[in-house]
Amino acid sequence: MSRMRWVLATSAAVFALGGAPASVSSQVRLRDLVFTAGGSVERYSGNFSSVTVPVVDSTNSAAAAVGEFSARGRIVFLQDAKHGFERLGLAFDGGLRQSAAVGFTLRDYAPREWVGNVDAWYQESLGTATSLRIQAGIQGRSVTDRPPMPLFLQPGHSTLTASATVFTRAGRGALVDATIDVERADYAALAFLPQLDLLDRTGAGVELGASWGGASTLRFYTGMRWTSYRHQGSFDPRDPFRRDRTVRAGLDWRYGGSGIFAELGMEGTVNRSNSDRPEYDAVSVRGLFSASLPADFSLNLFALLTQKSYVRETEFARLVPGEEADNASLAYLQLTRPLATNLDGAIRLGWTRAETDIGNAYYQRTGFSFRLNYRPNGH
Amino acid sequence: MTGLLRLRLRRFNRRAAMIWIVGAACGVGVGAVPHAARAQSTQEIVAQRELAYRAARDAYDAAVSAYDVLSGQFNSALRAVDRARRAQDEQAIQDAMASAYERGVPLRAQDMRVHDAAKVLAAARDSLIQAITARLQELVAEMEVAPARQRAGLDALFRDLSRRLESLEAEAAQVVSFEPVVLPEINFDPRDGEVDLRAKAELLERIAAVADTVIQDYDRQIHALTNRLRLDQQRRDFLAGTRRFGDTQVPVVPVRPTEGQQAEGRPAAANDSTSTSGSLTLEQRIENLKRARAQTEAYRKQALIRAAQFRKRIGSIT
Repeated sequence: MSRMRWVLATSAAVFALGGAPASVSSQVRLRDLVFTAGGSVERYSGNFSSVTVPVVDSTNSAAAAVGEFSARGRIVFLQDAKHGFERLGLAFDGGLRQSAAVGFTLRDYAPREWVGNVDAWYQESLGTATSLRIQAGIQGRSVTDRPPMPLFLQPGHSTLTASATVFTRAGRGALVDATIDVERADYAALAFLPQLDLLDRTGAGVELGASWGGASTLRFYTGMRWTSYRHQGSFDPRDPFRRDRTVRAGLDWRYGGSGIFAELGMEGTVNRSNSDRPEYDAVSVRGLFSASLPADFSLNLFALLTQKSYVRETEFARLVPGEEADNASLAYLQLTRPLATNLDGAIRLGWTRAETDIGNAYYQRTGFSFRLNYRPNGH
Repeated sequence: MTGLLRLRLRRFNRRAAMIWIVGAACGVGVGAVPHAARAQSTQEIVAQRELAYRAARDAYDAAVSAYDVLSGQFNSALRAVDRARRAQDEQAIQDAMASAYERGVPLRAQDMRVHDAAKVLAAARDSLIQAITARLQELVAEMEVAPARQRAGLDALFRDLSRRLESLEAEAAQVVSFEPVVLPEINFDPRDGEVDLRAKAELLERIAAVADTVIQDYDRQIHALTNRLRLDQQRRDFLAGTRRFGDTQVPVVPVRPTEGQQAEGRPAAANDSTSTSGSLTLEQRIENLKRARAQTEAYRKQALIRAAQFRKRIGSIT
């Protein structure tokens, strides 16, 4: 509750700082409200040997039936009458996912996940070629009856984020952006899994980017991030808690045409720490493709590949519980079709393969789901 | 004199309810104040509201004048479309259509200002009517107790205020359309003969035809953007569905906000190719186009009505 007050206070503060220019419209608008209901069947498998079983009751094969409900949308409080952009607003996304998982050695599991995200933003024009965007968000997640491997679910946490970005036009048509952000994540440690507290972190980062183009846009960026894990030891008595410094650089290409959207991104990461264990280099490639198909169908495809290599050998586990999704590769394919004016139906195939905290032990997930997206306010 | 007052009061019978409501409101507030001071106060209120009304009237007239200028520019742009179409110059047609759209933007904004000014004017008028009605009620009471030498002055004041009230009520009772006069430069001229009137009617009809093609172009754009919006929404639904429960979250490797997060209704200025001060969402662009379409539709309709009026006048002089 106090965090919610903090979010609201931040929103009020940024509004107060920016003032209420004369060219804004204060009519509150609810935009893009969508309710989603879906069900899926999932299969999980792993190659865990008896030696590398990460948690009691892990198994090499499990299955689950899953149902979910969610709602998301955004509320626009202020709109710039002159330029037409949304000046002050709030986006929300929340949902419930209930699974019934079978196939484990000792018992069946019924994990229930509640999630909620709220983001508030404020955008101000600083002259003809520059604008400022301030954002603050809170993300919450809780999981009950979290199952063991191979059914990996992200642990529960609450996270606060804030960022400020300046966009400005530079020469040769370039749009330059500079962002600073801060983050605080608090993981919900369970009585029988106190290690989740190890994931608690605070972080801050800067990022500088430049993009060119119109329908086809290319963006280069680089950034630096400092992260502190106050519950993880570094084994260095002079500097006892883990502190990471991460440098990232990458490029994104994006194309938006008539009936087609494509995005391709590549990012390299170098992570160094005062602890030997988490030092790594990583490369990730991400792709997103959307296209209109005949008979009102549309296709959406998302894929992400990550490859990590650690700098030093260690006798300890690389990851702590809650992180068991290293070197992940995942792909989602969805076909959507309007069923009524305000209702879309979709079928989705999903696949994930990731490494656990034990080297060379992988788990894999495949799923098929059917979803309905309802927009009461229409498209 | 008393009989005359009764007659006048009967004349205002229809306003009796209003008089008593406003009179009661004034009475509640100033019940303990001496009679003369109360009259003075109501008189001041009338004067203040008269000033407010005149200011609102000036603002409205200025807004309508500005609209007329912009309307003329929009009309010129439509005629440029017509000329380009006759010349069958595709590039010129595109340029002229773009120009018509650009000129339609300030026209729509001014149209909204005219409507706002009209609302302010109507509110100021109602407020003034209420004050005058209350003052008339007071004058009736004053005349009944006033010495004979003061009655003539009060009676003159009563008559002036009554006339003012009648004119205001007549203005309010008119089926006043606050739609500004369209196509101000094509007007009736007493010297117009049949040929002139026919030429003006044909010009208006041609403008209506051009407006029709502009409307069709808006429809095409709205349809294309609506399809794009639906695809965009389906993509956002897809991304939200995959990341809501953390299924695409890859630990350790820091993930900066991706397209999915930016697309979640938060216009990313980095994506904006036209302005760094913020981008219009597809919903807003569709909204703007629909407004522009409605504006052009109204414009077309009025042009046809005016053309019909010219043709009717041709019939009356032949």
